[in-house]
Amino acid sequence: MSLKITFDDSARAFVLDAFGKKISNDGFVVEKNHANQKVVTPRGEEIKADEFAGIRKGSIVLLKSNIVSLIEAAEAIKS
Amino acid sequence: MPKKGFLDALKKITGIDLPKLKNIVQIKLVNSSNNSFSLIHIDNSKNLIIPLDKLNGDRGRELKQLLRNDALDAAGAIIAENSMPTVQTVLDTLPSIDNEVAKFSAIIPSADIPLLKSCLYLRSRYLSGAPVEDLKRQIVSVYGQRGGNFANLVSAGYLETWFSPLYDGLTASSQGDAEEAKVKFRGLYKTIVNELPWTEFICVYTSAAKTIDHIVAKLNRNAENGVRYMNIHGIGAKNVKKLEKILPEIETQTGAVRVRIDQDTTRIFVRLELPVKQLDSGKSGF
Repeated sequence: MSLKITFDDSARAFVLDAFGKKISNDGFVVEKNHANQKVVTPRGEEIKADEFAGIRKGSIVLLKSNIVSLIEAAEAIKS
Repeated sequence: MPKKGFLDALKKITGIDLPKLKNIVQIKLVNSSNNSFSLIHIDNSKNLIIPLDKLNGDRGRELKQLLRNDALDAAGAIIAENSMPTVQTVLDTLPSIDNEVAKFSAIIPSADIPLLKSCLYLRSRYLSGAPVEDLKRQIVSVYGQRGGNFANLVSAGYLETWFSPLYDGLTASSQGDAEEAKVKFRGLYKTIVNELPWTEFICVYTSAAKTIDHIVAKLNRNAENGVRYMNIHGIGAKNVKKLEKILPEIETQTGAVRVRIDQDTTRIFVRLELPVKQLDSGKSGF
């Protein structure tokens, strides 16, 4: 069985910070050093804090809590 | 099992011995104030719990470095706890849709491959009896109405009954030129997914009057293009009742007649056809 790494809501900021991201004042995931630069999914979706579902490998891709992103997450875990 | 370098770094951060770390299957990042865990520990010999607020500055930085540099290679992804049940269901479902994903990924536009996977997953969940309304809403939120259209088409079996025979026919008529067949296929695919020209899926949120107007307009437009039929699907008890109620009015307004009905309490399929006399001669449709 492959290793799984999870985080709860209270650890969200820590995980984002590890990858150079943070939550902006208006509640979106942004670059830590460029707060006006929102981070988007491969399909260009902006990510609100409560929609942040994690990070997958492949040039650090952020995940949104929808089925399209979560299928990508499952494939990353499986590979 | 994670690589030794990853485990060595984890040992340094957590203070837990390697023999115990080798057996872990999950690392949970939490904060002790939100959990009952106040110490770094291994739960049930397999879950490593790390309360982040119990790490001093150096160990916190080292853990962030480990996440950034090695964790994605070790685990593939770092997942929010509340998304993990869905990810696990996807992991369990993927093998059952792998063949169709491989078959259709080769011919549809690459940008639509994640949409294809999402729609096949939705169909699999629907067939297992799970509620899928929220899944469909998520697909529409990412891909707009065409995402909803494709989800409906896949759920109604059109990958197998339309798209696959269409591609096979184009391949045969292109005399083995697979690239030409693919270009032609994608043109038709785009129209079908964007416009649903020959199909209608009853929507629970659209009024009966608007649904009638829409279907009548579509049937009339199709008739002008020489297309004699329309397939209408209703999924869910409310949509079954709605379609039963509006069918007579559609038939009255268009002259179309129902030539096939498959129905139970939760889904209905109706094929309407226009009499040949209503069509312009010399035109043909699918």
